[in-house]
Amino acid sequence: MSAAALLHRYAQALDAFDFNAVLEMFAADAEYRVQMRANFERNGVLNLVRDSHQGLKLRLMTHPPSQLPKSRHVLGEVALTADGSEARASFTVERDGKPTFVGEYRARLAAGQPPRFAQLMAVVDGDSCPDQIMVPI
Amino acid sequence: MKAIEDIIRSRPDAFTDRRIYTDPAVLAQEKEKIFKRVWLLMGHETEIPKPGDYRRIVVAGQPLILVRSDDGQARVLFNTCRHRASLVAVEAEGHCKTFKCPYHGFEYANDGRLVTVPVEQGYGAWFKKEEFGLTEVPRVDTFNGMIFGSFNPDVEPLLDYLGAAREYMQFCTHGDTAPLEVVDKYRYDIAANWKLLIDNTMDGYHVPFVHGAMFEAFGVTDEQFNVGGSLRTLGFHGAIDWPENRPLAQRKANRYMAIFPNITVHYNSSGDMHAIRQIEPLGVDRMQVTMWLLAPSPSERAMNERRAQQFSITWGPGGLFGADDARQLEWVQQGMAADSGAPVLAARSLDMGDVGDYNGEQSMRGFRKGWNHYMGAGQ
Repeated sequence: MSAAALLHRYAQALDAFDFNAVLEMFAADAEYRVQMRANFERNGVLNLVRDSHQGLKLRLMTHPPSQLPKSRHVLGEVALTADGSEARASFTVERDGKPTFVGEYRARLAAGQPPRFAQLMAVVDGDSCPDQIMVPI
Repeated sequence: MKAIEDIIRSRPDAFTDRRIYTDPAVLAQEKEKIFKRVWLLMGHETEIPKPGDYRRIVVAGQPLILVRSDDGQARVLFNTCRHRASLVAVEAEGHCKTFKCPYHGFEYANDGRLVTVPVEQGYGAWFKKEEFGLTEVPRVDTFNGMIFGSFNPDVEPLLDYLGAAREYMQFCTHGDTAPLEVVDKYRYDIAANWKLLIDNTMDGYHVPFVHGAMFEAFGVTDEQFNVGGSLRTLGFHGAIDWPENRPLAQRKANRYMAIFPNITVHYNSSGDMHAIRQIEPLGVDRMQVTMWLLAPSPSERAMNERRAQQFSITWGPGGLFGADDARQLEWVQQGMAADSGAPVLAARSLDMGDVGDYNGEQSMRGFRKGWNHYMGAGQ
């Protein structure tokens, strides 16, 4: 399975609140990050989210889906960097039908099978984070 | 025994009309009666270290420029051309000798003086450049690197305004030998009235409920959860201290503060993490929070990354605790819309004076006294 397919599966699993499947897509030593674009571009140290696998599990397992907004992830074309090490795709995350988060995924895959994220980063556009990130976006 | 109606009437700091969180007319009054009269946080000296450094900021809805002018002074200028009102600084931050209006080319020195007017003779003899500089926020002062400004030329001195909160501010914003510096910052929105985040910061009572699932996931027991600690009013400001029996093996005290009207200052012993939040009302039911991470200077990148890691676990819209708080405040805001006529309560430990236990609501009442004072309410 390609990085593109993994990113699409990730998006679909989030939209379906299938959090076990989301967690399975991350390698045991993976990192999940969300950073505002301004912080990313200045190589700032602050992230909105910087979770280990354990942190990601906490995030996914302590928030009941019934209390979360319904999401719809819209992905742009997934492109590999020239050296093939990273997959990138624009995204829009709609919450309860309203476009909320816009940005870019940057994904690195772990070695081995099945394909898993070694790192998934969501760089969020805008001057201000518009909503809470209870679970991954 | 007093009737409940008498108690409510006698303690306007403890019983609040919910419409102050929902009525746009109240927000308009807050901007005039509070935000234009008190000291407000404009930024930090380390964000504009060199002469010519500037940042565009918006405080209390006002478009401003925080700039260090060539004479080394930190200034706050209104970001609006004296000709046709355009922004003169359009980039988020930068370094310049002058601000040149993009509309008709009026050019201002970085201390606000008007230095160039294209085709100046077209105005005639009455026009004098020295009378058309950028308007300056009349009062600017600093405390441990934090730059405060006031739109009120007659505001009391900053140190007097901070009053009893100074000692706590010193702890939270000064290192062993020098003031802390800004490491990084970001902004986030919460769909709730700006006052609710102040209330939340000074509220220990909510912790086991809003954050209970997260503490349970961390393996914190009920006994460990008996965090102790104290809440105190510091005039209109407030502080909350958590002592040694804080969970998560934290050894030193945690300390959070609220500086009236819209600043919170934080120290988390876990990760040696210092932070400041400034709360900007965007509407009666939406706020924007700017959050600065502070650290001693100099600090190695690796150390600051560790601080930032602890920061992101805890705070902000993605923090395991901050996100839960923000969502809870949005639920409060939605509940406030109920036109039930019932006041909301900050009435715990009502007879304990200025210092109460961790579950008290003293600091919320201190804030409310300040709010009532400036708004002329509850008299």
